[in-house]
Amino acid sequence: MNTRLISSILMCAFFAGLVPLSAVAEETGVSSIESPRRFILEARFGTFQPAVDSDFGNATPFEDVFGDGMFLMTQLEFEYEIWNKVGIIAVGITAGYSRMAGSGINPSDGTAATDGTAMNVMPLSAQLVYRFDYLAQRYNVPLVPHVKAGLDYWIWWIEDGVGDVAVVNDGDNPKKGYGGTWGGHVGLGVGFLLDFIAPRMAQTFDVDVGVNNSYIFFEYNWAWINDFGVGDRMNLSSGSFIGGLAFEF
Amino acid sequence: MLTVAMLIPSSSAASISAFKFLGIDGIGGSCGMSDRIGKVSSSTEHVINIQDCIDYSGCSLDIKWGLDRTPDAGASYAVKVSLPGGACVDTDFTTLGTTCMDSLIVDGKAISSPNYMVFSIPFDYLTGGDCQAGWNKSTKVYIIVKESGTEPTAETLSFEIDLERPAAPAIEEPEEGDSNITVKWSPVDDSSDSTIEYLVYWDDSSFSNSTKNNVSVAGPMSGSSYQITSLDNDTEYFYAVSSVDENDNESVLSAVSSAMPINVSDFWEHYRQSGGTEDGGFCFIATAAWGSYLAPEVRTLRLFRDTYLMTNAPGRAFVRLYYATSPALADAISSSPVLRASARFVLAPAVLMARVMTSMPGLTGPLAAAVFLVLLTFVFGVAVRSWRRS
Repeated sequence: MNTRLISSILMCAFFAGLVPLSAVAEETGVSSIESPRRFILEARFGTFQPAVDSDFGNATPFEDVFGDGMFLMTQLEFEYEIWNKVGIIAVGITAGYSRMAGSGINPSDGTAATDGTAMNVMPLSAQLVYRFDYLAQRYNVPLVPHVKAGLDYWIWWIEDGVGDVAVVNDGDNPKKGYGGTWGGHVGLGVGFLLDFIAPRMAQTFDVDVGVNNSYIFFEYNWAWINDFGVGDRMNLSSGSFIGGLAFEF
Repeated sequence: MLTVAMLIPSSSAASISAFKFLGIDGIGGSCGMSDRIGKVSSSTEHVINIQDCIDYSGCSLDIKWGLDRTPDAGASYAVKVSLPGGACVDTDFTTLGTTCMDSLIVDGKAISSPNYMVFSIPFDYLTGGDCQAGWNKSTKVYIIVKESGTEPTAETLSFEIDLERPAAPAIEEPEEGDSNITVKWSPVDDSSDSTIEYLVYWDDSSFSNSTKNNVSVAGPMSGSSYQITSLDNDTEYFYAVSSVDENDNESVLSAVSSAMPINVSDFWEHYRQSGGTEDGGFCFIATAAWGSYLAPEVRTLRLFRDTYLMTNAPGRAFVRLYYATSPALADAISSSPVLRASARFVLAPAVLMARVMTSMPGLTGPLAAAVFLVLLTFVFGVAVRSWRRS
């Protein structure tokens, strides 16, 4: 009698979709087949506060115009996994954009003018990444620390009050307010494996679109963007808190 | 603007069977009506604005119509024109009505060629002749057809006569910037017009409604502000704003005010004035790294530039930026064997990608971008693998 009752309940639950196949598989120890992992795509949102004023003694031209707050840096990173055994080693490229807007300065009294001015930064970088996902893959520990290091080339340009690239007349040699600056960066962070929260959804995500793992991650990034100290370039170095989503597929 | 011909059924007489409107022609040397008038047979809405009223005064209109059938042998037609805002009786040839013009345009004319009929109306009959009347009314032209054994039937052509100017906007305090003035105004709240746009006039001398055609103008535009650029600092400029309604009627000017652009330091100027040493510009890294503009690697990159960067706007913008100023880092690289070797190592993947892409004829557009990304990923992967093996 009890056996029949339990069987009936299980049958009803099965057909009602309350006991999904994946759960049955997990309970019975049958692991699902995962699609190959090759790439990682990260959408990154972080703070940005370039150290322009660090090149000056008492003057603070950056703070005068843009204030002392943080600015948003948005980036997209694409990585190719070249080794995937005890953790992942990947090479990646990153492109991003940040726009800082402020008020121009009245030269006569140093006050803020009604004219606006803006600085745009487009960081481009190539990097090597290591993600320690061994514990996540082997023991279901949902935390994946990572470290990154790479070479940067940041394109920047400054807008005057009407949105044109700013120009300074230096005698007969006008200097335009744009350029590219080399540098490097190191990032340390940790990702939380979202699959841990919703394993069935994660499996569906893999089957449907090939995304093996999804992470929400946080990272602190040190970027030294000053042409490695060669020449007299504007210092765009910044320490940044970065968060975002990463998809491994 | 002349708006001619909206066909609507008569309010009292039945519609003319198989009636077709064939268009309107302006008659006279300078009476070629603009397309705004909707003179073609497919047009359904026609407007005469203030400027049309002035420009076409004294002209005549030929209104063409026809029947897609053969009426009986004794069929005839009459044409009546209402006063602006008025109406005519359309159930017979003789009764006019109190708001109808006191004579018929056509009085009982035989329909001799039913496929193509034409009659003329003095343009000023439609507008009433006073182009500064300031009203917006409809003038109707009635075509009444009488056939034996039946009641007269009629069609009505309706002309919207918009002689009403929109209100002038009220200007607000401007912003005086570096070589620019931002003019601001309060949007006009005009319930009789669904769309209001604005014209901004300016000059370094004062002007008025009668002289505004001799000064600079921008628009029509939506919004409530406009930045006038490329002005001289410390020069007084006069400006005013007018509004334009959906029928292109322009208001009188707002009050004419003045402002003076002033010198303002943008961030680049402020940075340099504060002692900043950055000169801007990009580095000619490749040339510095390989030591010669004619090096094969540099030639490959130039070919890539010409093939894939100079053929699209973002690429051209990037190249313009790249070649803008002198290369500080390139100087440093060219003077250091270690830095030159490092730069060659870093640029090797880019040269390889450029070489592969420039060897694939016909690779353009999104496909080129996709191949570029794939190659970029592949090349970095190979580079790192090679490094690991070594």
